[in-house]
Amino acid sequence: MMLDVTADGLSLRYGDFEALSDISFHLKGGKIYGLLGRNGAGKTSLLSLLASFCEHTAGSIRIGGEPPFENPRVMRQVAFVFVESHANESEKVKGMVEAAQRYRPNFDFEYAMELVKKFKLPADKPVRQLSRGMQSALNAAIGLATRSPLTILDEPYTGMDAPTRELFYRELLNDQERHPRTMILSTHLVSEMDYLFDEVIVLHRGKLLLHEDYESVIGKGASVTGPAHAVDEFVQGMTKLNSQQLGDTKCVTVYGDIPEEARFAARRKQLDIGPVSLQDLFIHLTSEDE
Amino acid sequence: MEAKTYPKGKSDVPKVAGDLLVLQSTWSFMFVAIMLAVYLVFHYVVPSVGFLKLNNNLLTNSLENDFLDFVFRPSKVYMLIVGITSASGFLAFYVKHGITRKACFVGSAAASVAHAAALAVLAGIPTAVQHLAFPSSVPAEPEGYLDFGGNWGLALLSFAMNVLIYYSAGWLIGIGFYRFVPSVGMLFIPLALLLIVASDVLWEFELQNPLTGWLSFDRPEFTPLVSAAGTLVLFGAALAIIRACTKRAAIKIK
Repeated sequence: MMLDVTADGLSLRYGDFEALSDISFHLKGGKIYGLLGRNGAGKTSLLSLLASFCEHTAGSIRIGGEPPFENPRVMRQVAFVFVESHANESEKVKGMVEAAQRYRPNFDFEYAMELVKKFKLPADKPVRQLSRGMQSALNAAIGLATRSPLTILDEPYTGMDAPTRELFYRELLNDQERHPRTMILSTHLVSEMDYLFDEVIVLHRGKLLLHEDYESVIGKGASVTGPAHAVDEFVQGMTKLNSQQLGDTKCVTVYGDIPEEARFAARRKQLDIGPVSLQDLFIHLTSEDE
Repeated sequence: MEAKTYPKGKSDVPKVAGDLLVLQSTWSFMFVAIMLAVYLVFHYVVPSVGFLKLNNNLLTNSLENDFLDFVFRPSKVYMLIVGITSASGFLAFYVKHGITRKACFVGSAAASVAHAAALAVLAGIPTAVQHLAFPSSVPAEPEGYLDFGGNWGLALLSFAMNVLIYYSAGWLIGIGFYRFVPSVGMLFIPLALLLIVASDVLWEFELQNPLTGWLSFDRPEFTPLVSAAGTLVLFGAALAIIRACTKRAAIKIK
């Protein structure tokens, strides 16, 4: 089962503060969505709504065609992994896995324990005694093994070291290949995780700024590399996102479409036109007002 | 077409109720074991040591009676604490695992009733052993809190119903602080106290609870049946408030 997600005019208000405002999108089932946004953009609020952790104040959400809030059919098919403190959790690692297995209809216990082993988590140790990174790895392992048709991971890497994060990304892709589901990954590690995304959603100040497939997004800009004077001449008048220079070689990232004639001219000047990084685009898109 | 057919699933209520009952009964088993050890020491060991003397009248009086009477008041405090700590923790745990607030509430309510009965049985077993094996060490018709003229069924029923009210009072306080800001959560403490006092009034003549001594009015006498029915009404009222507070409650995640 793969679940589509549709939001229509979705808003969430806490008293006078509007955390989300008039958000509309459609997420097709079976893809990995990267959810980006600066601190306070509304990412966790949006994910909380999808996971039925809170209720929207306006608009509507449909998951698999049904509203999720207090809907047992939907809720048991949605998994939400987030940064949580296990400082007082006396349950052991294996016990936490067993608890998830008890309530999740698609849970794969063997796979969960395989991940526990791969992440080098001590199965018989109380969770409160694990480091922050190990607790995050446990949450991620349970989240993946839940095999929920809609799996939401909100900064699941918090505290994980680089090799563990790499292992997690690899496992995520492998398991997605074996058991496709709709996956939403919220992250601040844009450059590290961008290759995972099929589509990108950017929130800014509670509003939907962008929702497009990954290739379209990175096609919104380009990197121009070559001799410094030629690069400077070529990018004149363009919106520059980033600039780096090593000796006489310069690389400038620009925002906006580069027409085919301009690309041809660039090649004649021995300039290399490459893709822009999602991180550079994200920084540009969300810092226009600064 | 967006609409999917979700697989049919069984209600989560029995699973939630069963799991909570097992978990809380395990805690209660440990609680009763500890209280039994304390009771055995003070009821049988201390009196046999000549130079030791208890100076606390309340403790002395309760030690003169059987174990059920001794463990009654600590059980109420224990259930209050279990109610406070369980309320918010279980709600967040279950919603995180895809269980609705409704299933969590109904399962928790069912488990609380069964748990109160389980605690009464757990406390009743050593008491029965005490009366059967060591009849000379306890009065045949205890005159403590649970004075029902030797009617043990009624004593266990009143035990269970009283600890149930204390559990629901704790549940109310826990939910009040989880759902609202602390200043509003504080209001749930007098609400819980009101529930406890009302229960004490209902059982006063049977239990002779000191709490009702705070109230200076002519207390009517209730038959155990009326007390039991009144307790159920109080429990129902507590559940109604808890459900109203949790029906659409946001789950805290950070």
